[in-house]
Order: sequence, then structure tokens, then C-alpha cells
Amino acid sequence: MIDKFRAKFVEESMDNLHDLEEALFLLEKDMENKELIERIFRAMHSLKGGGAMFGFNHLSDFTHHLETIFDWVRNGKLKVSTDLISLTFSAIDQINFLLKTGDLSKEEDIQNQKVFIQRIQAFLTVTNSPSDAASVNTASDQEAGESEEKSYLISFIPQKELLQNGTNPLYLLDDIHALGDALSIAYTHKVPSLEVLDASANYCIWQVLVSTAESINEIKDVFIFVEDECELHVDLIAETAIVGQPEVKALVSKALSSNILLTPDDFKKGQWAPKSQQPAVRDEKKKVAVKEHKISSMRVSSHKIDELVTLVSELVTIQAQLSLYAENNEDPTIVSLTENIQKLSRQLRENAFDISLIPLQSELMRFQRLVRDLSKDQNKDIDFIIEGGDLELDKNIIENLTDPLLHILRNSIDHGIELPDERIAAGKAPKGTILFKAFHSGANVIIEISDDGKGIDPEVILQKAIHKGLVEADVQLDKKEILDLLFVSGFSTRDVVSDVSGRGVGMDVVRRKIANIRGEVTIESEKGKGTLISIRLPLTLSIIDGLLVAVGSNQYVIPISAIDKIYALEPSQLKQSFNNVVVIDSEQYPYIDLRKVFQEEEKESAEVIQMIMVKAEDKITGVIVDNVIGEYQTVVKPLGKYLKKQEIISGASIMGDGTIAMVIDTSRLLHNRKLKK
Amino acid sequence: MTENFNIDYKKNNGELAIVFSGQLTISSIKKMTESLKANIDHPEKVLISVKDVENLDLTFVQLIQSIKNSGKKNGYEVLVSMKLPEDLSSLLVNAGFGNLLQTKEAHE
Repeated sequence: MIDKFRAKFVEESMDNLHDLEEALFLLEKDMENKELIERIFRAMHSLKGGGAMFGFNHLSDFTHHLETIFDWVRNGKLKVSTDLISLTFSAIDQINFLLKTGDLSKEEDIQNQKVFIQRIQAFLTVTNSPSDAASVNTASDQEAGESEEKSYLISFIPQKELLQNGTNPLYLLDDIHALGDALSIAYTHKVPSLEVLDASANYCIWQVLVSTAESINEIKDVFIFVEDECELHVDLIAETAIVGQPEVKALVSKALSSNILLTPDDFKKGQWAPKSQQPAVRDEKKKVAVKEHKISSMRVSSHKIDELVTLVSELVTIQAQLSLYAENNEDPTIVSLTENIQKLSRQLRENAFDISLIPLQSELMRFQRLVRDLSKDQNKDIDFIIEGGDLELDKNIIENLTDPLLHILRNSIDHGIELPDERIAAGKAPKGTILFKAFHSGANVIIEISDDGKGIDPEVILQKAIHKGLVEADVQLDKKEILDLLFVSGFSTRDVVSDVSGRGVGMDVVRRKIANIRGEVTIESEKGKGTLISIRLPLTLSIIDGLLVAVGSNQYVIPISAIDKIYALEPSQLKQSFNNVVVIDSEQYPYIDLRKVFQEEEKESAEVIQMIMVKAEDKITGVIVDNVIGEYQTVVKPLGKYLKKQEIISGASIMGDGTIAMVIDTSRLLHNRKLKK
Repeated sequence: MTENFNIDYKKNNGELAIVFSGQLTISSIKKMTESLKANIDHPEKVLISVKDVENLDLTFVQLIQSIKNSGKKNGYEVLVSMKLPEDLSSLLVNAGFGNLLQTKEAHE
């Protein structure tokens, strides 16, 4: 049970940290933004409260100090500065560490935390200057006109699940008492007897009478983290302080003994001012908003989504079997039903995959941190611009994409963008730019990372490749082919780094990792101007729209997203071809015969040759197959470990009749051909 | 794994004395509840004592209330005595549970 709660708290806190980081980045650009300051304060407050609740005591203690800083900021006692933001970024790393490790046990970690807290406290001492204090007084003076005490009735009716979400309502009620004179009424009549008690559920309801000079919004702010998990009413009941008066005590006693909640009307009979109507109206609006929000989104574990996607994949396979059965039996009723099921399963598949998509934004924060921290370390001034961060991708793709992207960005900062002096000398602005751009392109997503740094000198690359024996000394390569050498294993070694601006460090690994998620990576660069790295990715990994083809006695699937056209050629056209290049519509295309690739026997003369034109790395290549069977929704199953090392097949699919069709990785097929050539 | 809470039971002539201590929070509440269900077996009187408390939350307050409600339903008296650090006492009072701190002293 405890593990479940703690895990949930950690999961939610990670979201909180993400939000915190995002707010900090924005605050760095707009240091006076009160909304952002409030957002950061709330995140700290939430981490502190949850930490204490779930036994993350060191986390709670640590965030308490940070919360104090941002409490000062929001109250005007402290101004946001770059130092404060840097301190908070470092603190986020520490919070991340505390969330992963729980309470610290190693002496070294405890000492580090103490030192960190001292840094925070010192920060408060140093920055609490008299001028700051004066500004607070001024602010207080401005509010003096509103400081007369009023009395409110707060009705706090939490949902049963409140406690499981990491909230300790005792602290909320304690916070209300900090606002002024308050009297809490706890209604416990719904708590069941021990035999039927669900110990982690909430059964209590509270009403609190508070007399305070704070505004109604200040009162509501106390409940801000639980507003989705409770019904909350805050009603003005008197224009003066009434808590502690005998008449109020009598009303409270009556409510407790009858278990009937007090209403604002109960206080109308008193000698104090009647309830104002406006706050109640606002409460109603808030209740509606809360209800709307509750159904707008929900948290589901990724494990459950994986299960759903697997089930939908299985359904697609079964549906293919049913289609085959319907075709063979020619029963119009079954054919009609099968068509309907096919439509539904396609819709279901699209919905299930839509659910499993997550925004790229979820990972971008890490990249922003990397750029910020690394550029500060290296005294470089870099503007990191993100376009298309809200684009969504399969979560499995995003998980596998993070490392290659971090690698590319690191290279860009380390070796692409120059120091400000160097940039000025080169006639550039002292501030470098890295642009991260994501967008849709047909059935693919393209991610481009470009910088306006040094760029890559192709001559240096070529000489290195010759020196390393990767190409012959007299080889004739165009610029693109030379830059492609960066992705060849064995090229990227540490000694290359200084000579070619660091580009190429581990780029073979980047390409391999991108290929593992059926993506392609290409590079373009202009010496002195900058570098562009493009990554083309599929939207999803487990089901693809494929073209089913036959080669020999086997069936294969070619992803439709990779297909440009299909030609039916006369055999004579191939006979006239030279060096596996065929002329179609006056254009020359290289081609691959899959019979040769899969070592099938030579086919006896055919009347028509089916050539599928496949796109990869901006080039079109023909792929000859025996027969094109048709379009096929393919559930891609991973290959077992024995077949993992082969390079042309990316997976397998079970056909309707139970046979297996291999899914061809067209990118690797064409790439291998190029290497062999 | 050692528990971060403790419950002692003493039975004497139909009286059941229960002493709670340690971390009395949601992280242990299920185990505490199971323990109580197993040990409260038709007593004539239950004397609850809460002491040496490191932390407590609403789940524990509800647990105490639940025992009281069981007492009402099954016809036995439940007396509660709480010795809490000042901060926790204040927390309970501010949450409207001051009555728990004012109940009659239970035997230990």
C-alpha cells in the first residue's frame, strides 16, 4: 500500500518538477511575471506537503526552504534574479534526486543537502535588504484600505480519494488558522465502524469559520491543490469579526450535535452584516469549472495503455483472419459483417494509438536544461528556440529518441556554436542560435536541429576518412556523401573531435538508435554558417500500413509510407538495363531484385515485372518483387534474439492464414545496397 | 522490514488496552486497521492510548473515530487518551478534532 502511494506521489511530483522547470525558463525571460512566481510557489508547496505526507522528510524539509524564498518573492520581499533562477534549477536537480532515493542515508548526501540549504538560507539573508523591506511596507500600506476583518464560512467537502492523492487536509485547515481567527468544525458522522472501514479513504467534512483581513481569494488559495478533489464553498457571512462570539459558539454546537452543515443563512439572524451575494455566485461558477475539469482528463498508467495497444494489435490480426475467411466463403452476410468490423477495428486502432501518443514537450525541458547549463559552463551565449513542441509521438519512440537528441544537442553546443568573441570575429551576432523544430510530413514526423555555428568542413572529413582507410584516396564523393561518412562506424573517434568541430562524435550511434525506431537521420552543413541535422520518424511503431508482396514462396510487407509509386515493367526494360539502373519515363533509377537479396532461385521469364519505387534518404530506388498482393494493416512483432542482428528485416507480422510475413526495413535495404556498391 | 509504528495490546478482565506510537499515517494505516480488526474481539471496554507519536494524519484520526463507532454499534465503551507533541496537538485542534484530546484518560 505504502509503495503504491509513494509511487503515485513520485509520479505526480515528477510532473510537478516538469512544470516547475518550465515556469523557471519562462520566468528567466520575464522576471516580473507574478503568475509564474505563483506557479513556482505552488509547485514547491505541493512538493513540501506531499513529501511530509509520504515520508520524504528530507524532501519536505528541503522544499520548505525553497518555498520560503518564493513566498518572499511573491510578497515583494525578494526580487527574481538570474542567481535565484540558477539556484532554483540546481534545487530541482536535488529534488529529483530526493524523489528517486527517498530519505537520505549516506552521510555524504546528508552533508551535501545541509550545504545546499545553507546556500538557500544565505541567499535569503543577503538579499533581504532594507530597500526591499520598504517596498513591502509600501505594498502593505496600499492594501491598508482593505484590511478590515470580515468573516467567512468555508465548507470543505473532500472526495473519498483525497488522501490517496497525497493531501493531508489537516495542514490545509491549519493554514486557514494562519489567516486569522478560525474555528473548525469536523463532521465525522460518515466514518463507518471498524469492520467496514476503508482506512485510506476520506470520510470527513469540514466547515471553518474564519475572521480575517485577507481576501476571499487568499482563502481559496489554501485549497488550490485540492480544488479538483473537493467541493468548496467560501461565503462571506459577516462584515466584521465574529469568531469567538457566544452566538457563533451556539451555532457550532448545534451543527456538531445534529450533523447538519451550517449555511450562510444561519448567520443572517445575528447582529452582523448579512452575507454578500457576489462570492456565492463565484463559488457556483467555480463548482461548475471543477466538474468540467474532472472529466476533461485522467491519469492512466502507461502499462495499461501498452496493454490496450497490444490488445488492439491482436484484434487487427484476428480481423485479418476473418477477412480471409469471408473472402474464401463468399457469404454476403459474413462479408458485410467483416467490412463493418474492419472499419471499427481501424477506428479503434487509430484511437488506441492516439491515446498512446505523448507530446514531445515532455522531453524538451531536459534539452532546455542541457542548453542552459552547458552554455553557461562554456561561457557561450545561446538562444534555444523550440518550434512544434506540442507535436505528439508514440511514447516508445520518444523514450528511444531522447538520448540521440541529447547527443546531437551536446555536440552542437560543445563544438558547433562558437564563443561570443569568435562569432563577432566571424561577423556573426555574439549570441548563437540552436533551433529545434518538429513538424508532420505525411505519415512521418520530422525533427530538425539546426545551429548557426562553425559548420563542418567536408574536406577535413574526407581527408580523415581516407586517413582511416574508410574510403579510397582517389574516391569521388559529393558533399552529401562526404558528410554521410560521419555516420560510418569507426569514423567518430575522439581525435576527430578537435579537427572537425566535434561533429561526428558518436554519430554512428545516433544513426543506429534512430534506425532502431525505424527513423532516418541526415546531416547538412555549410562551413562557417552552421549545421542542420534532420530526423525522420514514423508516428507509431507497432502497427503500420503496409503493402503485401510475394517473393518466391514467401510474403513480405513494405511500409506504405516508404513507397512512392509502383510500376509494371516489360521484361525487356530490365534486359536493356546496365549496372542495375533502369530507365523509366526518361529517368534513371537504381533497382534491387528481392529474389537476389533473399537468395531465391532465378524466376523464369515473367510477363510483367512489378517494381516498387521506394524512398529513402531523399533518393528513389526500385525494388523488384514477384507479385503485389495488396494493402495490409500490419501488426509488427519484434524479431527474436536469433534474428536481431540481421539488417533488412525490422519485424514480422502474422497473416490472416497464420503464416508469417517479414517486414522489410527499406531504409536499411537501400543503405546496404549503397555500401555494397 | 521493521514497521515505523507500534501497537501494543493488553487484555485484562474484558478491558482491552491499546497503545499506539510511532508514525501513525496513511503509509501504515492499512496494517494498523488489520491489526485492530484481528485484536478487538468483543471487549467490554477499550482504552486507547496514543503516545510517543512521531507523526499522524487524518487516516489515524478516522481510525480512532471508527473504533468509537464500532464501540457504539457493538455496545462497548471506548476511551481515548492522547499525549501529543505541541505541533500535532495544535494541528488536531485547528482541524476540529480538539475533542479527541479532551477525552478521559485511558489506562495504560
